[in-house]
Amino acid sequence: MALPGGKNKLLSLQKRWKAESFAYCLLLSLAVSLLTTTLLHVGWGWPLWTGAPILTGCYLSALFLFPYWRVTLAEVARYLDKQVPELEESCGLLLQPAGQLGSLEKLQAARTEARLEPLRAPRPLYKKLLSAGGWLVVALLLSGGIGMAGRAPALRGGRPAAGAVAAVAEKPTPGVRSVSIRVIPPAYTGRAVRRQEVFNLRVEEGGLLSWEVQTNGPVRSLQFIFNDSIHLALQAVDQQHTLWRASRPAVRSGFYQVDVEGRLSSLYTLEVIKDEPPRITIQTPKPYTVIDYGEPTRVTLVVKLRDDYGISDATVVATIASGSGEAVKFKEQVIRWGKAFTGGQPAYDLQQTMDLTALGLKPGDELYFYCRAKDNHGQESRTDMYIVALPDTAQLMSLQGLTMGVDVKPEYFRSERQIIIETEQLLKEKDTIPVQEFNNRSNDLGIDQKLLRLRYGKFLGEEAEEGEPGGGAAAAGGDARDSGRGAKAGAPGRAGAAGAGEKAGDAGRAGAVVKPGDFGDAAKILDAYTDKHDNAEDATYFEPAIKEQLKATLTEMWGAELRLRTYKPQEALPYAYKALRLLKDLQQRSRAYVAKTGMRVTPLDPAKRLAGKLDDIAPPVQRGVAERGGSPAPEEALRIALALLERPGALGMGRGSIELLNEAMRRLGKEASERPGEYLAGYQAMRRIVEDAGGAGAADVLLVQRAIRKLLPETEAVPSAGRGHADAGLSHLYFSHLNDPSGKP
Amino acid sequence: MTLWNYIVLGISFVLLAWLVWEELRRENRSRRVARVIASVLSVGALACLMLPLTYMRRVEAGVGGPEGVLLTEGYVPDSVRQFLRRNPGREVWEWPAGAALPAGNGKAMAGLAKLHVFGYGLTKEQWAGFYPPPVVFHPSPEGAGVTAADWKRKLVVGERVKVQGRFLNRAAGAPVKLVLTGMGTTLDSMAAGPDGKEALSPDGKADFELGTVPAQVGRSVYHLIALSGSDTLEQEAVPVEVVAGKALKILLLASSPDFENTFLMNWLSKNGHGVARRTAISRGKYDKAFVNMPEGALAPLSPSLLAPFDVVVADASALSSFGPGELTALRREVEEKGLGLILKVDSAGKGEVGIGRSGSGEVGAGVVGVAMAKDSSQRLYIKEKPGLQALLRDSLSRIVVGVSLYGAGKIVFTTLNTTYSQVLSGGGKQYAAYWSGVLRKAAREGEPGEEWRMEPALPRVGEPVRAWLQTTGTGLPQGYFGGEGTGGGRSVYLAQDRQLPFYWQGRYWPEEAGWQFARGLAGDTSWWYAWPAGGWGGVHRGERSKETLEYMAERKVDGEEGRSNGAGGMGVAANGGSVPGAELVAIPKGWFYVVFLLCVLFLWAERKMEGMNGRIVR
Repeated sequence: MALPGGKNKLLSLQKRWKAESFAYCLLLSLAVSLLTTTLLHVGWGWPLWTGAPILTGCYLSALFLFPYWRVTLAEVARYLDKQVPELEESCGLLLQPAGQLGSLEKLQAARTEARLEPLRAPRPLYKKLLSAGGWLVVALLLSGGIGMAGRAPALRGGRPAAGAVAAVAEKPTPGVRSVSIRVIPPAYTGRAVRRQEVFNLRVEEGGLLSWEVQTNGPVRSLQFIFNDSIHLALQAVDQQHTLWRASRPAVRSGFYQVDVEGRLSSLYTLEVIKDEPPRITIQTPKPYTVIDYGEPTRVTLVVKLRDDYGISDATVVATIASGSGEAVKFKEQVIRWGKAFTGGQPAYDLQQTMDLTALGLKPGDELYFYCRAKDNHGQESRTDMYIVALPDTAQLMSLQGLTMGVDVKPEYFRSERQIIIETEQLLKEKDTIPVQEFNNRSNDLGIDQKLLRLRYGKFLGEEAEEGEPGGGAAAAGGDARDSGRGAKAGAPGRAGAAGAGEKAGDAGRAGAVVKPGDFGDAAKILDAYTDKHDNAEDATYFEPAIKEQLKATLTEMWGAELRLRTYKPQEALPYAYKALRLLKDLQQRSRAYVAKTGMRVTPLDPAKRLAGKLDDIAPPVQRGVAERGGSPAPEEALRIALALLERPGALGMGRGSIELLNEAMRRLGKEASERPGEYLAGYQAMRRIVEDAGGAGAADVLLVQRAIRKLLPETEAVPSAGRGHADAGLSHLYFSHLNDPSGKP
Repeated sequence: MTLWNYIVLGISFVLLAWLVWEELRRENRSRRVARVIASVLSVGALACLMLPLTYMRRVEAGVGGPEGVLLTEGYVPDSVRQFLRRNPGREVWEWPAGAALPAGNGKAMAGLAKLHVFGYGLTKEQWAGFYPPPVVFHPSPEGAGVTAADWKRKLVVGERVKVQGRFLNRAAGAPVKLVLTGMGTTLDSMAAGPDGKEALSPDGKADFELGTVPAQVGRSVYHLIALSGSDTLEQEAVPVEVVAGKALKILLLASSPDFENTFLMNWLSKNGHGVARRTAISRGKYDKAFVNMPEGALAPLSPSLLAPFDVVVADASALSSFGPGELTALRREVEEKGLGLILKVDSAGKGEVGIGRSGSGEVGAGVVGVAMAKDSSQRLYIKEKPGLQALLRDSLSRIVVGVSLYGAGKIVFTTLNTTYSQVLSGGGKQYAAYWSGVLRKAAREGEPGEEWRMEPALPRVGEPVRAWLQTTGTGLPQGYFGGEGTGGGRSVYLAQDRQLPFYWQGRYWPEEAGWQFARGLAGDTSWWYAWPAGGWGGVHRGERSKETLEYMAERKVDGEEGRSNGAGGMGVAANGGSVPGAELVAIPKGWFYVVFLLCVLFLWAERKMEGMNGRIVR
């Protein structure tokens, strides 16, 4: 006979077991997902909502890993049997249908049930829950720490918290018990209102300052003196005249003083932090980029934006210039970044690919662009203009430049162009001609390219065919060898080809030597056997810059040749184009004429020129008066004051010195009102010295000297004459004796 | 060891090797060992004859009368104790630094046969007043710290002060930093320790140079501080006076208008110098400009026209277009009156530029002309020439700017004709440095005034200072001295130098540390500095040792130290006091001569004997 009470008890226990196991898994997965999300957010910038799927995933895997929720009634019963000895291991009886139980079993079941009824249900997962809770706390602490550490560098990127005024021990202000300054930073900073208990201030520009001064006793008047000129009276708030208030926006840096019924405090800094315009750094592309034929017409734009508070907007302004001569057309368009600027973030790393074709850029066009950004204070800044050029390969083919008759090298230029034309022709015919022919023609083009390269190599004094007959033979030999090598379908590298050329050159020389007619012609023999590479004329034929470019051209030619020889004319084309462009540049360069700077005008020869009568012409006379624009007098006063300060009895020295020191003090005061952080200490020390309050000491002198020295520009050398030495004409006498060998004095 | 010693040794070894080789090769083998020994001995004796051989000898006590010990500042008590233990019964006196010798002590010492001096010795003044018996000096080792230092005390605005000296770092391994401070900031610093870049010689000496361009005008005191970690080892005052230079009057002569002169004129006038410019614009027509000076004629150069100017800057073609009279006037002004001439050499010249006189007439290029050359890139440079001092060289170390003396004046040759481009490209400082340097070099020397010089170079309070006045003034020989703070001063009467009548000499004891003035009757005040009693201790100690030795050398020369044999006390100094109480004695050469003679005699006689033997045998 089944007793429902007992079974119910077991069922409720099972339910509770399941609930606790679910809770356990939840706690564990919470701990794990919290930690994971924090790490991903801080380390890789994942958004916080990713926490939800992570939590779900964690929970599911926890349920799978810890399947306590799958507990059955039998297991519950077994657990009870084990845990509670009073049940005499008979809980299993309660689960069996009553009909199946024997009489003894029934008795036992009844007994068990009776014992089970008052039993306080054990909590099997209690410890596990506790430990999971512990893990969660640990995870909370850890993620909190990571979050803080992650935020710290972000803050460091901007300005340090402005409220953190250097907590220099301020001297107590006479008559003032305490001060409380409420600083309301302007909205654009996004900073919270803060409160400080010291007078020295460091405030964002445009912030509102509210002072609340508590005096020691009742006072009649209390005012602030800003920069020794502006007075701000405080209003008494209470009846006893001990609590005073005033407020003022922070506009300019400077210093201020508290005036309590005529008693003046020392000077306090009021430093205003100006908002900086955003800084934009374009990492790629370079300021001037040329996209050569064959290269992808895409430009990856990587830009860094930085501001001290936040960036509210940023765009790229691109202008496409197409056409040439007078028919240049400009088209401006604004490219937006694929990102919304909220204004809250001070740093952005942006990346975008500009598809030039999509922008409408055709060969021969140029793209000018710049980036601009605006911060949330409305300040805008922009970068320099960057240029991306897409050269027109058709332009290279034109012969326009050659018709102008300025030092041209027609065959060379035509050759490179010819190679390109023929390569393109070959590519066009590729489908209609057999592979063997295609390969042969490609190889021939490679040989042409090689010859062209060798010709240019001559300009650089490279080792190649020199001398007339030998040169021809060598070229032929080279060709023969090369075609042989080409047939073997080897990939001739640079060294290999050069070696071949050299060997051919030797062969050529040998050929020249054996000519019978030349026998006995010493010059010819010498010529054949002398290595005249890099002779002086070749070495100084071009300027280094031109040589550099010529070398670059040769390298491109190498590239083209290599591809042609390996039957890849399509790949060779970009190299050939680049080489052609460089050559064009060279050609243009030889056309440029730059006058030598610092050229002297040829002096006139009055005997031959301007032979007219000039008697009536009065010569021009210019006059000028000493105006010492470069080193004005105040600066000299500062320099003299600098030395005067060091004298212990300086003040007793006279009116002149005191005036100089006063002048220096005025200058320091002016600087201090603009940059209190740098000059205020010096100004205060100067006041102590000049007013001779008694507190002035050697340290004050050093402070003032340091401040004045910072003010002064570096001393420039000035010409001056040395003083002669009094020698009663002795050296002059000696000199005249030297000059006059006769010995007469 | 001197070069002479090396030469002697080298030759001796070669000689010895050759002789021994000859001996070994000799067919007659009898008495070979004896001959070799004789050869070695003879060569050795010959070398000893030529080498200055000496040995240290302990100074024997009590040679003739009582001896005394005088302890001066810095003596090492241990060595004194050791000395007294070896030589008991010596009376000991002490003469502390900065104090006078107690009266009566001098008289007591006068009766001694010899006086042993320990410590750093006395100054020349002290020795002169003391007049002791013959002295044996036992100097203490040099103390750590700055042992030498000097700098230019009086500078012109914009000139750099360079403090140079030597630091002795006794604590090997401890890094020492030398710092020059002033105006509340560190101006320059240098590591003088083993980890510093400066080479520290094995005995711990480091040469230092610290410098800055003073920002102030007037007198001020910098400080040289030696730091070891955070400990201050030494702190010395470095007083410097910066005076505004005298403005120059400059005449620019140009054959054609150019930027160079315009820029130069602007820059000079901005700095307060008087400038006149004469530019040829047509035949006999000149464009004249005057800044900071009264207008006047510039047309034919004459002595009276050139007299007020300190420097003439002319380009070479302007020079060649001068008439002979103008050229003569210019040359004579340079040669006789010391006018400075800056010649801008350009490529229009014919290879040689200058002024001078050959035979009867003036020549454009002559006695003090310089030869120019162009390199492959058409850059002009000046060829080296005796008497031409290079002021600026290019990267290939060819002269670009040079100066040479011409009579009383100086002529600067420069190939730099486009220095204004420096100003345009923001190099105003370089431009100023270049022209200041060139003009300073060339400028005519000003009228001589009174010139004061103090000896010692680092005078201290309470110690006598010898003041030298160089003047042409012929007033009462009187100077007026005093400290800056005291207000008053004292008169010092000066004595005229016997040979050079423009030198006057006096003596003064500064009363308090700080700036001191010295004023002649002409009224010009000149400033110098007196250090407090302990200032520049290391330098003074070294100087006292040196002066003691000098004093001893002088006495020996005078023949007063009759009994001192050999080098007397001087040898001690040569060994830096490593062997206290010893003297250096030269070995008499006679012995070596005897040995040499005997050996050579033996070799000769042996040869003869061999010959006789041979004859007998035959």
